[in-house]
Amino acid sequence: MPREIPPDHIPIGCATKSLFLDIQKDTIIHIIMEHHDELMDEIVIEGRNTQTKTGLLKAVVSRDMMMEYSGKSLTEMLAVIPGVSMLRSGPNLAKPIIHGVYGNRITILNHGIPQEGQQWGNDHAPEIDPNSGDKISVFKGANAIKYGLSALGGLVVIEPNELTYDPHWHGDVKLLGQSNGRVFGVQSTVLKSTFAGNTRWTAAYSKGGDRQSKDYYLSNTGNKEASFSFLISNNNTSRNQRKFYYSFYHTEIGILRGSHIGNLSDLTEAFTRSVPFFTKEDFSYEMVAPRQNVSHHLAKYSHKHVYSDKNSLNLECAFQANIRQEYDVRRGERSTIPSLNLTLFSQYYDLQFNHQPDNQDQLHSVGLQYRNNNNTNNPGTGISPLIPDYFNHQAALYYIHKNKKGVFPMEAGLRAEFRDYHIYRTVGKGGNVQRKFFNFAANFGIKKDITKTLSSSMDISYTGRPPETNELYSNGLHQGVSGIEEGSMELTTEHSFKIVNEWNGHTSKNHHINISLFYNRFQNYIYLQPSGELRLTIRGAFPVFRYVGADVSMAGLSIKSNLEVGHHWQWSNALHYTYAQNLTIGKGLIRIPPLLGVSNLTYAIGKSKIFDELKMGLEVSYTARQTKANEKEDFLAPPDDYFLTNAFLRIKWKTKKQNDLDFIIKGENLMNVRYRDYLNRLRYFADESGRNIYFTFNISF
Amino acid sequence: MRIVSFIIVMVLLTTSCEKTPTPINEEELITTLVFTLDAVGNNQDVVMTFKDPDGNGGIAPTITTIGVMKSGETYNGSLTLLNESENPVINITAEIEAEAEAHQFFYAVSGALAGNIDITYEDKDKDNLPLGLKTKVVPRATGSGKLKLLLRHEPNKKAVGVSTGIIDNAGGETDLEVSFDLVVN
Repeated sequence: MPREIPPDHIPIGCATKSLFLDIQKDTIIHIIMEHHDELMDEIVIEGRNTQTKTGLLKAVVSRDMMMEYSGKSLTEMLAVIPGVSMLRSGPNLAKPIIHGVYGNRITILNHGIPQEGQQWGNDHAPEIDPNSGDKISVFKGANAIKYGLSALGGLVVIEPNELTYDPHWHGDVKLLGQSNGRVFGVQSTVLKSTFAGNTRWTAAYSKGGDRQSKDYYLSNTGNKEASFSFLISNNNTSRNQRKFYYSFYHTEIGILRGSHIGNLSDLTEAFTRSVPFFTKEDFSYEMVAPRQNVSHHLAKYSHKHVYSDKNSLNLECAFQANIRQEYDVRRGERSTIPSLNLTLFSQYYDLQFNHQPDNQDQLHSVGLQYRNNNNTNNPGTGISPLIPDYFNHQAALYYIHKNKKGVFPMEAGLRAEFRDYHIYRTVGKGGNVQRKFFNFAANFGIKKDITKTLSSSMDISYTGRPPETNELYSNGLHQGVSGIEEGSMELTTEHSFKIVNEWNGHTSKNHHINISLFYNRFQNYIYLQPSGELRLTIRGAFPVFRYVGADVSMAGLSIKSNLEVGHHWQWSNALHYTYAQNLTIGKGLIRIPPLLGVSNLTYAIGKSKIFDELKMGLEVSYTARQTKANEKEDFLAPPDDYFLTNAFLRIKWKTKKQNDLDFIIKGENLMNVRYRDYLNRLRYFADESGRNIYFTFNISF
Repeated sequence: MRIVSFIIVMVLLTTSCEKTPTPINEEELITTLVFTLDAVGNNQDVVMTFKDPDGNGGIAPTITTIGVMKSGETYNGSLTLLNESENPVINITAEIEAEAEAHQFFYAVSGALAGNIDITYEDKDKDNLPLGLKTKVVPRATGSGKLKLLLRHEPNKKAVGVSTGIIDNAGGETDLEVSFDLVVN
């Protein structure tokens, strides 16, 4: 008789997991709960299944942790992972930096499909609602061979848990609030199995107004976000496993009014202001130009056919549409006409054959992939486009091998990729051009148990990344860089050699340590460099930025130590540092995260009369000043170092019907410190947001 | 296999398309600024011109001053802004007049002539605050220098000094910033 088995033991800090079991005979069930969520660099080897995200080096943000970060964007959630930082353009625009690189060098997998947005823009955030998935993982050792050459810096994976058969409605509803910006939101995930298959539905909406720094409102920094997703899968034990997924994401983001400048002298003047120009006395939810409206659709179908225990074939196909509209402050009532209006259609097809020899410890996968991107500047902007129309094709062949046993577990991958760019421009802008690139990527990873409690893993990779369309052909005045941006047609392939080495384990019963080291050497690292030229226009003089290739060396270190004191206390300390040098000019590289130290004390107790679980924590972080950056490549010297204090309290109750109630209150920048962050473009104009209190109330059923 | 053939058809359909980008009408662009100084007396008129027909980037703009001002003479200054990259030419002056409350021109003299040329606003917006398309210019000394002309969008026109042409507290964003050589005999 099918019945639901409630978990009888809820360990502290773990998520409740409900299981639907159809018991027809004597059955032994082993339930292994995931412990130590706070140790995110848990190294997982996935040998048994046919996952081809070759991932010896993997860090995970679990659903339970995601709950504690509710109300935050995908990038903000990722930033809790050691080695991940944020590149921001105000309070609501953030994109991940992994091991010092971002944008065209990071791939985000949205339910198994590489996200295709306008990644090139430093002020373009990933168009994904993190709550459309159940966990977020980061693969740090350029080992995402399957997903292309743009994943050389790392692969971010957002995915749901595998859907299992359960005829009852399950899910959760969250109510969210934030004091700063008066943000409110609601999110929900619902699961149910129907005659057609197992389904999973998510929906979310949130709205926020002007954020507030210590001394003033950051006028026009409101945002609105809405998302919906639907997943259906058939019984995953059948020979034909089918999945269909659709997601829609829409966001409207206001950009600080005072950060919109006319020319270079305006920018210089903005540096001297204590309060940004256009700062209003009062709070408002209203958003005016400059602002962004972005929509993203993703539809995917996957079909896995299992021929035998040994062989399976996997087909994935996906369509994406990304519509991006950016509004500037313009004359003649044109502020309501987008200055940048891009539609990007993308397709993705992947056919993969998997072979597992008899012992099941090995896996061989061969795949064939085709992708295309069709980018159009929608007419009517009245502004010459920064990037041209294009239709790019990518075809790739890859091979992945994993061996779970042997002297040490290992994985290796090889990829050959052909790209064919078709660039469409008006005759006056250079006409049509076609470019072809052929490149390789390879990686090799091993894991070794040093002692019973300590293991080490290493990943070595090479990636040849061809220049992207924006690096080759962008041309025009770009507000985001406060200058004239010029692509360079002469650019050739960027070569990246990367080694990641991690050490993970217990040094004593109560002490866990994780050390992550990386070294990344680039030949022809493509980046936007100020050329030193000032170009005169009718709006005044603008600096000219050009995409150039330089030899770059990057290295980094992350150490995280976790000490359990008694049954209730936990003290964790972490240190992250990234070094990056432009070897061609012998200077530091721009936009590299400065030294960061975080200390975290947590207290947790289990069931009592009042609640079922209580957890609270205090966190102090120190961000140093970036002293290595080449100040000639930036408008303003990096800001000073700062301390931030955060705290949280989480209480969990169980109702008689075994529903979970979670209440989380979380304070950030509790001391209301006035500071500016090096990796936020807003630092030229305004202080960071001040104190913010997050409220989350969650019901799981 | 139905799905496979569907995919093949989709790929073929979408990959064979040629794109023709729509030419952009940059209506908002200012390519040309003409500052005309009409001498009230019998002296020579002075005309300053900034021309950048291909807009930002591309070929460098040409900047000319024709004529020499006379100390003590009164000149009626008037500005004309055009977009000559479009056919027919778009008159931007009218657009700015229509949004007078959201705009203000500023004039600054530097070099040996600094402080020796009086420039006063001769036009007003609906709030009775200056716009600066029309000015009165009176040189008080001889010499040479530079005249900088600046247009601010959405300035705070009521801030201290702004209505008399002092830019320091104006704020807003710069839509236009050009400099001309100036000689007063």
